[in-house]
Amino acid sequence: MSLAERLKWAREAMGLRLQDVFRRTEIGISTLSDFENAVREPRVWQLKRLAELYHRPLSFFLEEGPIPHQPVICWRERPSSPQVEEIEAQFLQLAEQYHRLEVLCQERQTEVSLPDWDIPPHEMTYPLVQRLAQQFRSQSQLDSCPACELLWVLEEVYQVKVFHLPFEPTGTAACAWGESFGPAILLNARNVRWRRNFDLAHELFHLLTWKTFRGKLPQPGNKPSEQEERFATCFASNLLLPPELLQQTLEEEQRAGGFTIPAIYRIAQRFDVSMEAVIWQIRFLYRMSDDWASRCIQQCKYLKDFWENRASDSPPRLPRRYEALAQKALQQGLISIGVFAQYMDITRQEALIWAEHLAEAQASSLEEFSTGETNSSGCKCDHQIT
Amino acid sequence: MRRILLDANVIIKLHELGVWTEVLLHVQKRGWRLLVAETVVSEVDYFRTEEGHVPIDLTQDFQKELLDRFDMGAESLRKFRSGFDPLYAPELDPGETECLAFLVENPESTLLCTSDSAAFRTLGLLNRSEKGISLEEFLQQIGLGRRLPYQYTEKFRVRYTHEGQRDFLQRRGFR
Repeated sequence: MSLAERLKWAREAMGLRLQDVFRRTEIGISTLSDFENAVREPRVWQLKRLAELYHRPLSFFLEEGPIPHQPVICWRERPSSPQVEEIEAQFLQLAEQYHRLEVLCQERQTEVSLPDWDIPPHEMTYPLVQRLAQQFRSQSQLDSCPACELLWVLEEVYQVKVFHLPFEPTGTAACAWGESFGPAILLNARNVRWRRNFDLAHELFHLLTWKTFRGKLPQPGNKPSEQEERFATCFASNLLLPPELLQQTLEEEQRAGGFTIPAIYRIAQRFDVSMEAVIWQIRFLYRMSDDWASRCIQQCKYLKDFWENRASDSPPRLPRRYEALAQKALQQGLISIGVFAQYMDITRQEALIWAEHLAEAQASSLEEFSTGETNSSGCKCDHQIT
Repeated sequence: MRRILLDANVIIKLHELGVWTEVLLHVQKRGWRLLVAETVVSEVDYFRTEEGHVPIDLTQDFQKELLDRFDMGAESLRKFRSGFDPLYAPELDPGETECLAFLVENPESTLLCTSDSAAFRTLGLLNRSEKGISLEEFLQQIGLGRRLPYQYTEKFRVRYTHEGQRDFLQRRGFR
């Protein structure tokens, strides 16, 4: 595919018309049309503006050959257009950048990967989903508060790329499995932490059963069925609120004064999930009616402002490991300061300050090392080799 | 006539040091030319002072012909990049890439003044180490020498150029 074709393809993938591009780049409509019809060649500064708007690296437009297969994004509830194209492009760009940093820094770990549950869809049942949640919890050593550890485990152990972006509606999240970057999850930065925890576990189910429900070559628009979504919710509940632990906590609460709304609040706090999640899990474990659950939720809603005064936190803009890799790549001269600014979503001036600090830190540590006296074993440090 | 390509970081730093105008005049006195890529012009938006952000506007410097601007077509950039292994070569921003592509096409008496480790590394990889100049060395050559943070020193340039030369010798970073 030529540069002209790629420009047109990238614009259409973003759901933009030429006049939208003109409005956001100040490049004239006829000029844009000339670029896309190979009548005129874009200058580098123009190409840079277009690449930024389309959330693609400059290199994407300079490559030849077919466009690589685009990863499919699985949404619980797809936001409306044109917002969704912008969010999807940002999500995939971040995941690709993360992958690029891993490759440049030679830190792509492949020893531990997410379990691959290739179970035929017709064999998937609720008891099986419950067992899978238990299996994942014990395999990942998620102990007394799985929600408190899940994000760290997914990022650091399984190398899942988790990003937080703000979007509407708030009650949705997404995941993708890229050929290059592997498994990735997108959470809503506007949600409170306990809601994000549940979304994370919910999306994890989709990744663990990617082959079951999406197949080896997933197609765009492959929306999860209602049944698959119910399995994912069941998985998330059982992962974050393990039945045996919940039962134990409920018994303690009963002994202390009975099952009350404040007790639900305390349990939600203890497991770092929402009060609704606790109520639904109790409903399933103790075979209560939907009506009972709805009444409980109503009562909680009534008292929500009073009880739900837990402090939430803003999610990290970028994963910690991603930031560490970007700093390492900058320090080693593997990415330029401008690329660092783009990857970290900061201004060039801010990136320059980062670069100066990293260079100073490196210079001072080198200085200290080179002035160390050589010991008898020939080692230029204070420690003797034994 | 010597031509010095300035990258965005260097332009920002010279403004921050408060010597930008002085540099332009000293360079003019020596009969050299300063070149800025069109992409770089859009990258230098402001510099920081204790009072806050101060916008950088190079318009008058271009009008007074104290600075020259240039731009390149996408095809030149594609040609320049085509020799590199996209996976392992340092990743440069469009401004740096445009400067390096220009340098490769117009090597006569042209130097790139940068403080970017990836740019020095790429010069080493291209086996054109002598085409890079640190801000420290540049200021010294025009009679404005001073002590600068490590990132702008000759030592920094040498260190990262060597990294690139090592990649060049090991044929790492090429297609």
